[in-house]
Amino acid sequence: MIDKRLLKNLDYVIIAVVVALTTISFFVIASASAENPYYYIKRQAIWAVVGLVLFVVMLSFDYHDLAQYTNQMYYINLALLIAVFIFGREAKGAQRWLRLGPLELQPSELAKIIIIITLADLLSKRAHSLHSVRDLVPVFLHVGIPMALILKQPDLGTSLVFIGLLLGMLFVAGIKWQYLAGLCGIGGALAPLLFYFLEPYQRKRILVVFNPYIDPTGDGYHVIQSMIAIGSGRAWGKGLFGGTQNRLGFLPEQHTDFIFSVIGEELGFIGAGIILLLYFILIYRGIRVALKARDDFGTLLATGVVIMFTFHILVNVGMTLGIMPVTGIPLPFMSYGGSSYLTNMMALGLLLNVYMRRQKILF
Amino acid sequence: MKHTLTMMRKRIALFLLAIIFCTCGLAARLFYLQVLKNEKYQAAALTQRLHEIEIQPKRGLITDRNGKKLAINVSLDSVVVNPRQIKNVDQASAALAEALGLPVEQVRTKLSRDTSFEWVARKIEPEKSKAVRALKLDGVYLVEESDRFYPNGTLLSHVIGFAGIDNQGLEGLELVYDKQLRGTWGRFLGETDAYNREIPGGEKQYLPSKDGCNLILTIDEVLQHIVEREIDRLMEETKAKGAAILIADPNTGEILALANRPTFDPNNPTAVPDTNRRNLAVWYNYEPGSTFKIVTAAAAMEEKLVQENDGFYCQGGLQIAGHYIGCVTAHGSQTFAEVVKNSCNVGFMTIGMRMTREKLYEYIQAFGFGQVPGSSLPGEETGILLPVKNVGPVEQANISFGQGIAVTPLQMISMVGVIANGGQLMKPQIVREIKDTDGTVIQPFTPQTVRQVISSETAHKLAGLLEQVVADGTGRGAQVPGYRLAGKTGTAQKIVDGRYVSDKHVASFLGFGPVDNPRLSILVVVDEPQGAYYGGVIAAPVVKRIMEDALRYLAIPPVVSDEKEKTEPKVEVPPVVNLPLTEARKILEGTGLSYRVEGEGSVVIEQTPPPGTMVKPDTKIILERGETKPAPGQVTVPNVTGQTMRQVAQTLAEMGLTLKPIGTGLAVSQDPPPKSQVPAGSLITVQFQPPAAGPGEPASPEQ
Repeated sequence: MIDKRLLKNLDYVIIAVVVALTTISFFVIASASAENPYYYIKRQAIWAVVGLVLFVVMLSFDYHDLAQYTNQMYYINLALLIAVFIFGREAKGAQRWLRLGPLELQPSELAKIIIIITLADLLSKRAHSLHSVRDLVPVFLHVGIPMALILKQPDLGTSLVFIGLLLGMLFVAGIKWQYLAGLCGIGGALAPLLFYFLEPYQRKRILVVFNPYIDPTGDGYHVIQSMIAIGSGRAWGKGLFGGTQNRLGFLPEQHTDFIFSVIGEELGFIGAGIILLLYFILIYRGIRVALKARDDFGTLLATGVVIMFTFHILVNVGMTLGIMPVTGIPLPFMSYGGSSYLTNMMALGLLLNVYMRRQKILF
Repeated sequence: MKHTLTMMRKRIALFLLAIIFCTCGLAARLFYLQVLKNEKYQAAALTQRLHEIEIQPKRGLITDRNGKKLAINVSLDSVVVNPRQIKNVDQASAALAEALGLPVEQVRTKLSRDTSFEWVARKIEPEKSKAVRALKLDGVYLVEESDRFYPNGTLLSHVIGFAGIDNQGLEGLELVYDKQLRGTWGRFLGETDAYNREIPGGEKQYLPSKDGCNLILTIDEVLQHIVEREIDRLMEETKAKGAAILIADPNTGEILALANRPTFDPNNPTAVPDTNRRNLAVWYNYEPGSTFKIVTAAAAMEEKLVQENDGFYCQGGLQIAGHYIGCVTAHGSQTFAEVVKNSCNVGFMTIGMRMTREKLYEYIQAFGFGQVPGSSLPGEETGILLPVKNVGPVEQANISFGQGIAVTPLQMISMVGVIANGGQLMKPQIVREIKDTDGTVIQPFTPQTVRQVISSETAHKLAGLLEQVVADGTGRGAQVPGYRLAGKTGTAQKIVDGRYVSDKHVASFLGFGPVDNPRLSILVVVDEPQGAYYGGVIAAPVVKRIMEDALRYLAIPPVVSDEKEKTEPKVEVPPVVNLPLTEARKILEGTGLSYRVEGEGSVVIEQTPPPGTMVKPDTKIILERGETKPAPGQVTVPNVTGQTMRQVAQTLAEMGLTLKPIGTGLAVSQDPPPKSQVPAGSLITVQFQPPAAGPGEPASPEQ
């Protein structure tokens, strides 16, 4: 299936980092789910195995082949996102889940992968012609339509990932500086308008970033508790399974979105710093993949994956540190949860696929 | 192609720079929180999991001197909700409101709040807490609280006062001794998790609560019950605006019973007007009238300005500095003892004027007037004394018989205690002891002498004179067969808008007994009685009934001459002279005595044996009928308005006059009018009317 010579071209540093992160995540999730640790660990282990399979699958074909199916992928993606509204299951006030027999699928997660692939394809074909506003319109629509559907679920966090992907990939694809500046200007101008259209709970979440104490028992609660957990961890941490904020239930969502707070509390500045360093290595090596890619498509694919990882890491960690809004974005390879883990493993497969096939191999 | 790839790589490099920048930012923030500011967050984490549970102390009990409980604590449930745990606010509000009998809106408002603790109802009845418990609602909790309860309701309410919803003393002794009764809160400091569950092995600190001290009053619950019963009867009979009765131990100053009307139930103090909560016994400033003559007499006797047998002559009034001040009647020639017995204003003005105003004031103040008595009951008033420099001859004369001065009931009972105990003013006390929960005495009882006001010799002499008032004077209504009681009646007109009015009176009786070894002093004050208003008529009988029961309760033996009399019950012959035969029969039948009628006529003109004689129950009383009873000499007609037929008959009989009664009830008019001179034995026609009607004509302030 995969040529042995190709395996030599894999980036084992990235793999080591992800293995390290996943391993650490098992301990932290175990600590963060004091009530029922084995339940979560078992499930997360299953996701890790399934993720590994998906990773291998994503490596198994030549990424160039994907270019042929971009249209189909794009429309299937839209169909799934629309299906969510019709057949979807509601949880915590949002319709994000689609039930397929025993499996539950979160189409917005898959949408990230699909948009990375289709946008990379679109931009690689137009990289040389991103000179006028007219050229940009199709690109915006390409991302805008699925994004709007996701925003409607509502899933603000994932929608923001799409904006990150769009801007980041346009930047790398060579959009003119003026346009980029213009876009940022428009974005800045539209921000208040967008703010107006946000649901009140979403608005409050943004305001709470500036001062969590405006609502210490409501929206500010998560941020305050996270900062207390991290701050009280000090340099060396309270030790794994020793975090009072985590173990005594003060920290909310501690095994999913706020897993980094548990790391901060139990492993201290040293532990959290090491995790940040691992992520930096992952991103740096990902960027290296983008730089070494054989062609535009590969570069943009790798860029997309890196942007996705980066966006998740910055927003999630920033959230736990009280400098980013609470948007429900999980931390890649650490947070408990299948959809997120599988998406990241697929993206990782895609990234290494590009790296593995950076050279023309002559048979 | 090659060009784009180069451009892309450049931009990716820029992108990397941005990421490095952001990662450094996160690391810096991490450093800030964990290294620079960690103390703040560590403290926050600690406060969050340390939970303080306050432990309520039990409020101290209030008991009478014998340990009978007057204020106790009961356990009641309070309803607390955690609105965050309420699943269906509408449903829960409706169910709770129904179970508690509260408006749904009120409950819904509390259940809709974004908090985790709300009181819905405090200290509910057991049936309601049962109903709430049966609802089994999530987020609704019953918390046990200690609530103050007064088992005897209105009994002694003005003294006890009451405590509020948080067991804080709000009025009465509950307020004054709040600090001692309250106790100290205990604390339980423990580590809990986010769901308020205690952490096993967590830090713990336990500081037990200390229950409040018990307050033991000087009150005797039995005497209090007697007083409450009689004050209710008094209010019923006189339809008065208010009344106060006090019993004290003259030797120690201890208040043994204290009741006021109107009253309130401390279990529900707001059910009646606020003014019902006034403790009239310590707060009410009133003109004492004749009861104050005790002070004048004591001063004059102590200063040796008068002797028991000094002669006085009363023409029915006295001219003082151009003002004519009247007496109730022209008492004629009297000894000082008779002046006291008759409560003769002229006699008292005369002795009052024998000293300087400064001397009189010296005694008034020495008896405690013009100062707060210091019983520790809240709301004590000082009474009102004219500044001594404003006291002219008229004022001095008035004060001598109790006008132009205001006093409080508590001051009066302290004053009479001086006469009873041999001359010492005792500080009135209401709290006997304060004991902690182990029974250790925190504050012991010690009688406190304020000062020696008069010599014991003077006190004993005066006590003897006051005994005569009850035995044979205006205070006869207070007689208790077999006991030697002393006292003085008082009737004062009230001042409305600066003028004495003839239809509003304060009637009182102040006394003590037994005279040879005084155990109880007593004061009955009746504010604005309807109908009869003389102290001797309405207050004295109350004293009689109270003293009868009180002396028996205290097992004070009656004074008897020999063993035979002790074993054989005797009956006192009632006065029936001047009464129509039917009336006289009724009275005699009431006492169980038989009688024989002699002569013709409509009224009884003579009886044998005379009134007051102690006879065997089967004794036959001989009644002589006739129209008038001839007697020599001129007599001044007394004012009898407001008296009952029996009293009128008695008064007239004593003066040698004959009564011709018309109608029934209380005397409203008489012919000839008061103060007219008639031959002894004359017929006085008196019109009687049922007491619902007010007193007919203005009366002099004295009886």
